[in-house]
Formats: sequence, C-alpha cells, structure tokens
Amino acid sequence: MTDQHLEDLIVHIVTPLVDHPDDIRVIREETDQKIALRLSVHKSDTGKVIGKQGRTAKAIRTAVFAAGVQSSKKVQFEIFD
Amino acid sequence: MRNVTAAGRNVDEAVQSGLQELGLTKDKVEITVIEEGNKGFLGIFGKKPAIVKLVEKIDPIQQAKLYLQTIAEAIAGKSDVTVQESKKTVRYHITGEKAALLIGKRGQTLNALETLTQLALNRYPGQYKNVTVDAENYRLKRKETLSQLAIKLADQVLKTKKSIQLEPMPSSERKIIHDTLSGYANHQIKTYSMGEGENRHLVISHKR
Repeated sequence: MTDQHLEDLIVHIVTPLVDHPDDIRVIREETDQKIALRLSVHKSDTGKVIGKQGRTAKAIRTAVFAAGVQSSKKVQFEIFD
Repeated sequence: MRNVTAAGRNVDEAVQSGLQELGLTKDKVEITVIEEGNKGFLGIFGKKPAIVKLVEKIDPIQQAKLYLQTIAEAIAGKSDVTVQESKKTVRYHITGEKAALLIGKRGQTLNALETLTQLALNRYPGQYKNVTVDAENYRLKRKETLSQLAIKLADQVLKTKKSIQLEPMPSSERKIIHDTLSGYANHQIKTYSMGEGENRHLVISHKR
C-alpha cells in the first residue's frame, strides 16, 4: 500500500480550518525508516492550524499518526511557516 | 456545492424541474428568480419562460459528518457515522469493523477527532455547537470507569485523610468525577482542579 493517503488526509483535515485552502502544501520526505510530512499554509492561516496552545496542531498530529500506524515507517508531522 | 439553472412556464414549474434535476427537496436549496416569465398574449405573443437558479444549501452538520467520516476511514477503513442533534450539542457516533482504532490511548484519537470536527462544524456562521465524537461506546464506558474510580479514591481519602492527585484529563472527564463526588459521603469530600492546559488535573481531598 502506498502512503499517499497521508498527504491527502492532511489536506482534507486542514481544508475547512483555513481561509486559503489553495495555499495548503504538504511536502513529504521519506527515508528508509521514516516519513516526514511538512505542512505549510497561507501566512494568515498559520495560527488557525496551530490553535490555542497548539491544540489544533496536536489534534492534526494525533489523527495523522493514527492513520500512519498502518505503515511500517515512523511518521513525523511538522508545520512550518 | 451543486447548483442548477432551470426554466419553466412559470416560477413554480421552473423550481420543480430544477429540484428534480438536483434530486433535492425545496427546503434544501436557495432559490433565486432570474426571470419571472411571461404568459404572453393569448399564450402566443411575447411568451417568456421563467428562469430560476437553485443552489444547494450547505448543512454544516452534514458537512462536518462527511469531514469526520473521511478522516475515520483513513484511519480505520470503511466506517459509518450517525448524527444525533440536540439544541447545543451534536453527537457523532462512528461504527465500523475497525472502529476501535479510532479511540487511541485513553481516547486520545477520539479527542483529536472531536477537536477537529468541532472546528469544521463551527466555521460556518450561526449558533455555536458543541461536538462529541464517540466510537464503540467508548465515552459511555469511560464514564462508568471514571465514576467507579472516583468513588474508590474518595473512600480511600476518607480513610487516610490524605489528598489524592489524579493524572491529567480533558475537561469532560474531570467533570464526570466532579459530578460523581459532589455531595458524596455527606459532603466530606471536595474536588478541585490544578495546573493549566494539558497538565490540568483533579485533586480529591478531605474537607475538614
């Protein structure tokens, strides 16, 4: 099974949370042991995907990890601006 | 969002044909009349059809349901979501063969889904709604476990007169314990929360 669904999942999760859905980007870096997924959104939306005390970011991360257990690789999720 | 422009001999007929095309009922669409239409003279001269535009209304609760269902399926495969709506709360219950995967350690994953669904639901203007997300009746079972734990610990506090600190929990779970112990053992027990944010936890202690 490919893990493309993780990127799709992140885009799906983030879309209703932001004002500029067209600016959602997920970059994937994969090595033998892990998959790193880096999310970037429109500048003005950064706060929305992080949330109060990182609450939203944490919820996104938990959901992505839960979907990532099916993969044998370690999944990493980051938000960068 | 789906929309359609339809024509008919009068506005009503145009609306009807548009609804048929969308397969929706009248309360599910926003109707804009573009052309009133004109019967014409003797039904022959100057006859103009009525034209209306129908746009499917967004139902935030249904939107949020689909949102949640897609996430659930990414985690646990084929899943169904049922919705229960009351005045201030919307409850989503997920069922599926592997729904247990959606709970996570101490309901962690379930809480994450709840946070996200709540945000997705309340992004539309309108009344603010609380969201609860459950799978496999986890919330109900957790409630029973927590009340039993609360009573066990309260009895221990009564015996030793020493306070007990619980591990950090979300507010909904702390509330269950507060509620269980309010007035317990002739008001000899008090419960309060300490710490901030992620670290907020309950303390059960003896009143003197």
